[in-house]
Amino acid sequence: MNNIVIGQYIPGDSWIYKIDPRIKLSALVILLVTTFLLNSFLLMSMMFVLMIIMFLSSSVPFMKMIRGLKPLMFLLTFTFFIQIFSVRTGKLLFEQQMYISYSSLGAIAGIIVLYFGLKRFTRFRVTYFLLMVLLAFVVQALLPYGPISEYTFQIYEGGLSQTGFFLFRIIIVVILSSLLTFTTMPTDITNGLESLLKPLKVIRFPVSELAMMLSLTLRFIPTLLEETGKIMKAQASRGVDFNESKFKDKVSQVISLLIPIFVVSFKRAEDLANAMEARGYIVGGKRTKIDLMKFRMIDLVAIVVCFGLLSLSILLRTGVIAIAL
Amino acid sequence: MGIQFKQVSYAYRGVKNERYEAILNINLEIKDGEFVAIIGHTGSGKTTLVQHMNALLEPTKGEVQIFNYRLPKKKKEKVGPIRKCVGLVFQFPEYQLFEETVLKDIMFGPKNFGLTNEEAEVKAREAAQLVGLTEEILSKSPFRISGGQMRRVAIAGILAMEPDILVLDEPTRGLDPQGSKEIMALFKELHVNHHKTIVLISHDMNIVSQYASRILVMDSGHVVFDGKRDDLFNHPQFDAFHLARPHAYEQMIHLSQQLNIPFKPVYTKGELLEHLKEVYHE
Amino acid sequence: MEKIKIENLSFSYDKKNEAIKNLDLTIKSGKWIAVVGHNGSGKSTLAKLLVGLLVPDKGSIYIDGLLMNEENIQEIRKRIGIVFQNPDNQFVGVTVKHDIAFGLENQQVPQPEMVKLIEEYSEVVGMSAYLNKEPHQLSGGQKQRVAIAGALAMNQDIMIFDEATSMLDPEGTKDITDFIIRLNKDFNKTILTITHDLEFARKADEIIVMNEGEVMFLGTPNIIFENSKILKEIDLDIPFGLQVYESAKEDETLNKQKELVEALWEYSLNK
Repeated sequence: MNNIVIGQYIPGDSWIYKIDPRIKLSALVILLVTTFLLNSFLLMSMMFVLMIIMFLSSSVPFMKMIRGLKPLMFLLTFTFFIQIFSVRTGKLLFEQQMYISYSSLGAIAGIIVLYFGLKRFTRFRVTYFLLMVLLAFVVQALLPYGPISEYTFQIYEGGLSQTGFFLFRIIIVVILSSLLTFTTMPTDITNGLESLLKPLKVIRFPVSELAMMLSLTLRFIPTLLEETGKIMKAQASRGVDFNESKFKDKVSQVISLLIPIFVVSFKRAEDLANAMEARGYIVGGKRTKIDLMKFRMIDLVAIVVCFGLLSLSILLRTGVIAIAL
Repeated sequence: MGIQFKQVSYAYRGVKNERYEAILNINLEIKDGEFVAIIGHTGSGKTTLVQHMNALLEPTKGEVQIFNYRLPKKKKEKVGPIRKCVGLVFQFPEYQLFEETVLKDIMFGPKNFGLTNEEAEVKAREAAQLVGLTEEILSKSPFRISGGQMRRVAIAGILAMEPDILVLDEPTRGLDPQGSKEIMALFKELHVNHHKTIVLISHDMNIVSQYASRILVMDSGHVVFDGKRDDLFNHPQFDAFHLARPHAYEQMIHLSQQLNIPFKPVYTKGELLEHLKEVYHE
Repeated sequence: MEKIKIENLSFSYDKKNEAIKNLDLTIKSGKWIAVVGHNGSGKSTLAKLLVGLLVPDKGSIYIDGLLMNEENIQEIRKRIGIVFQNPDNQFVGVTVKHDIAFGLENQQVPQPEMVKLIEEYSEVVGMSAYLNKEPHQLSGGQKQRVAIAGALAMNQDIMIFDEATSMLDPEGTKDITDFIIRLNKDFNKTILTITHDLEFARKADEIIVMNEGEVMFLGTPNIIFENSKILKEIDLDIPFGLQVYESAKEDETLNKQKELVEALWEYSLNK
């Protein structure tokens, strides 16, 4: 019952926690736009350093961020290699003859088998993965026996900076969005969104209703998860094997889960509507809010800094100013 | 062969990675043909315990033996056969109904265990009759019948699998007194006439004492009492279990003190009146 | 003072079978009325009609002298609250704090006042340490307590409990039933409990027995139980002690024993 918590909020005390959620949401958007306007490795590295500093000062545990990057490891490694191989500008920094031969291919095959075989024994999965990838390349440099073809592995300055550019950009996006979700309670995010979208009420966009739907969704996700678990167990007790089975069985399995969930949810919707109405809720009606959002000095500073960075990046992008080194 | 628990513990990790032990060092044997009741407060581990009986959970320590199967199971072993022999009826089982008709829903279980449509239908009809569902209801949608009938359909769905052991997690929860009586009468019949082993979780001391010969009391993951019902209710530490006594038993205590008549453990209105008649028989 | 007055009320869900038939009822301020009857007797329908979730086909409902209609329904909802059976399906807020606030937000109570009310009433129901907890971290009984806090914070004089304990375990049930008693005795609320638990119903000031949409019988618990045949007719179980007493009275060996019969009657009054 206690295993799930809504959102990824980690309680804390630093300056980021004190910023108004509306400002945080706006800052996220502004800084993302700023990041995507940057078009040089130098600028991106500067932004990256800035983000790292911001992160370190936020008192969010480092490991949480690392864990946030884990699902992206494949993408990052893939990007790295694509860029390294394709970009050939600037100074040649490193050169190595690589052999695609029966021996090296065989070794790579062996490495792949080893990787999957030993995967369950390692705790540092990501490092392990990277190590295996590195090995796969080292092997190509060292085993020319039974040659099929060769190529020269070259690392150019341009390649390195392109790689850095893309890698840093991806990581900045992760840092920015994680900072938001780690330091802002889901209810505050919803409140902030509702407040920011208020102007849309002019065109009759149902902002408050959307916010209510969002918050009800947040409220019920853990409950639904629990109920799904219970129904899975109940159907498992009737012989449904969720781990195994042929495709045609999967269909009836999913139905045996989906229909009960739908039925429960419809009943819930009806009961909820009654309860909300009985407690005086009127769709489209005016309401006060228990959560307060106060605009303070720190919010002003934050938004000014963000706009400042945005302006800088626009000016740099359009060539109005340039950085000379 | 029954079910045996040997030094079984089950632990899991919570949100902040703390370790919770739901049940600890359970040693227990359930023999064929028994009618056992498991009682205890919410959080005492009853549900965790019974979910080991049909391999929904595997012990993190110790071993569970269910007929010829052993838990924790080996990698490639399948648990399907266990779930056919040990039928588990959840709390509010009506939530598991989903098929187009009542009959099809009852057939779901048997079909999952390999029976053909024809075979499953036979078993389903037998089970439906056992729980008292009429022919008329079989062709209705399970969502267009009353709550009480839905519960019977869910129970029939398990009975159709023809399990040897029936595990029932609070089968009378949410039912009115009349409904409770009818459901319990069904389980009694299954026990007596069909020789099914019954494991019942319940909060209702009246039901527990009326039907179970053996009672297990759980508290904070441990079994604190395992024995006959008479021994439970006059246990010297009974108060420490924080349980209520059955109505009849409670009234008997009161009457024997107030009227100075001999005490005899009684568990139903009928038994109480019988005893009073004997006492006042001149 | 007539808190609730119902005149000639009729309602049917499908325009064919009447769920409520020509019902007349008056409930005075500060009273605790228990409504008992089978599923389908109309008890829950009555509750929904009283809070305006259903519109009657015929008849009138007066709350605090106000005739319920479309214009004043919001005003009426400030005076009458309801706690439903399913603790999860009425818990709206993301946390306990937000749920208690929900009704107050609907009434546009200013924020500082809301904070005070939430503090006060979460304390009353014993949930002040749980204000930031999410509902899936709470037991059924705790969720119902939060519902009660919400209704208290709205200062509703009338509170309806529609089978509010049937989905709870024994601890939760005892918890909530104790609260209901407090609400009536300490907070002077007018209470309507809909239940099929006659053991609990007997603690009320009056019991209404409903059957097939009509009030079959109305009276104090003692009067109702003296006429327990009526309850048996519609298949309602009377409390255990009373059953024993009734059976003893009908038995030839036992009904001659004056002392025994006395003792059984006395016992049945409390049990």
